[in-house]
Amino acid sequence: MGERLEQTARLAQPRNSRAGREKSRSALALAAVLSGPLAWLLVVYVGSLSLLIVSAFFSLDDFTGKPTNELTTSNVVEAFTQSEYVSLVLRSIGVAACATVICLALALPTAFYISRLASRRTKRGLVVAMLLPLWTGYLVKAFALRAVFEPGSEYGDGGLLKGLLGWSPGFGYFAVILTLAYLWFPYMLLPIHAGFERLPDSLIDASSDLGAGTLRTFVSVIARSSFHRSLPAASSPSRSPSATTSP
Amino acid sequence: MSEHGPTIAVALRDLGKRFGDVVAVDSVTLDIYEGEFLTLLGPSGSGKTTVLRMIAGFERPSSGSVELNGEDVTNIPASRRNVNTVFQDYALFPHMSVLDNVEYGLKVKKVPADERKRRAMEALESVRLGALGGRLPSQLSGGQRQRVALARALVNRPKVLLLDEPLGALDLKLREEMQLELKSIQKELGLTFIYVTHDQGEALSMSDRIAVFNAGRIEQVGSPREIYEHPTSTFVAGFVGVTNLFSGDLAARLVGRPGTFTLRPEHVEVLASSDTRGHDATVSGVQYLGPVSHVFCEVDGGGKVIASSASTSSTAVSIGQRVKIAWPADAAVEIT
Repeated sequence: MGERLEQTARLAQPRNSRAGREKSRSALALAAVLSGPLAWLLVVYVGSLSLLIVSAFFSLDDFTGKPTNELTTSNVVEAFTQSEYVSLVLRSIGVAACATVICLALALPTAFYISRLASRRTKRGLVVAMLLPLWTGYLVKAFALRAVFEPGSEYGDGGLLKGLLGWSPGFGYFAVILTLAYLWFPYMLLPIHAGFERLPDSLIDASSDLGAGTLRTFVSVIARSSFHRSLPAASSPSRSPSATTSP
Repeated sequence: MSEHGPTIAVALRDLGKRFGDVVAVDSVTLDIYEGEFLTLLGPSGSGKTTVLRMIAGFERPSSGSVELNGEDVTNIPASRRNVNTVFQDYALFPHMSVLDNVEYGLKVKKVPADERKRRAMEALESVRLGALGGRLPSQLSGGQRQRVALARALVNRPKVLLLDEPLGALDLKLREEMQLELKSIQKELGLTFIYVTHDQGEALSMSDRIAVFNAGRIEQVGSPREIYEHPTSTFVAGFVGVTNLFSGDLAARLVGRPGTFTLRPEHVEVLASSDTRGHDATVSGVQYLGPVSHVFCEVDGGGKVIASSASTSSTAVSIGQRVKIAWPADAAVEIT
């Protein structure tokens, strides 16, 4: 039996050539590199989202507020029929959309300036400036803006902004949208900036060569050709916990 | 020059460009005639591309002026000049289909949609890409991208087409094909082509006239034959083709009078050492180039001469062999 195995192994050898062995080795290496991050992604990210969805199909104990083992679809039906929930969802989407538009409108020209026009020193400074806020906690930043917008704080009746500029959005949807735009701005700027960095100068030349003015070139060529790269950023604000920060 | 007619399509007047302390282009004056194929030839960094970019409007001249059809356009942006460019890297918009790329210029000029589509399809068909309009540039081969870039420029019916080393990224076979194609398109449409290249073979085979650039200046302007056979400087003689340069003592010995001379290898004959004509020499090397071979000879008393002879010739020589080298008296051209 053992002899026969050895024979088959020897027979199989020519087919299992060096290329084949290298292939399986590189597959093994790839698996070793990717299995950790993939497991993390599946368990933490997908897992938590799945749990959230699964728990939606269980009813809650009225007294403790904890899920019971009683299966139900009433939560789902409620979410789509009860007007408060529907309006909450729509409001969240609206707020996220507004924040996204603001982020995009600010990030496009800023990224263009940083990647194309600024001198090397200015560029370095600005890249640091846009990365630095990422070191601060999400809540810390939100509270910082709260202090800026807050009416009637230690900065006077209208708050800090009112004192400085004579105008403040106060507390309300507009302040929420501004805060979210502020929080997510780096995530919009980074991919667009990376896209612009990779944009060859000749594309801009080609566009003006074909008769397009600055604005046209910016919209049709610069923004569009890097837009698919900025799509991940565009979807970020909608993932923000706008529902929890909305008043 | 009268063969080109009197109409000047592009006039460059004392054109100069500095980048900081670096002088890229130093006072270039040149008339380019309507319907001609003019090549700006020179080594990299000689200023030829910068001149092209100033004609297109991508660079603002530091001094001098650019005229298109008699109108001074020095301060007019690229978008409002009636010239189009084919870029070295093709510069196709990666997010647009081939057809959208070609239509872009017409769209910008607000040409109605149906006319736009018709003209774009015509342009694509003229470069034999009619069937690929729906593809993205990334789905095309290098040669196909090159054709799209050409169609995108031609569809605007420019007066002058600027080409910046358009064939540089193609392999030799494709490059030769495209050379013929470009030349026939230019003849057919009667367009003015201003073509930048560092490839002297390409320049010689395609151009009506060549302007040879060196260190930001034009060294010589002339027909390919003039440039090749009667170079006016040692730089032109050396850059365009292979040549033998004689000066000083060597010129006195080999040509018989003082001065600087250029002698093309194809005029040099390699003879048996017993021959009564010519100068005694020793073969120091043989370079096989396919149809021809270069024979490197050390002339007795000092000096090197390259001879080029057909590889099929029966008088094959070997290294170390004693030979005589000779050439017709008028083959050595004096550089003044």
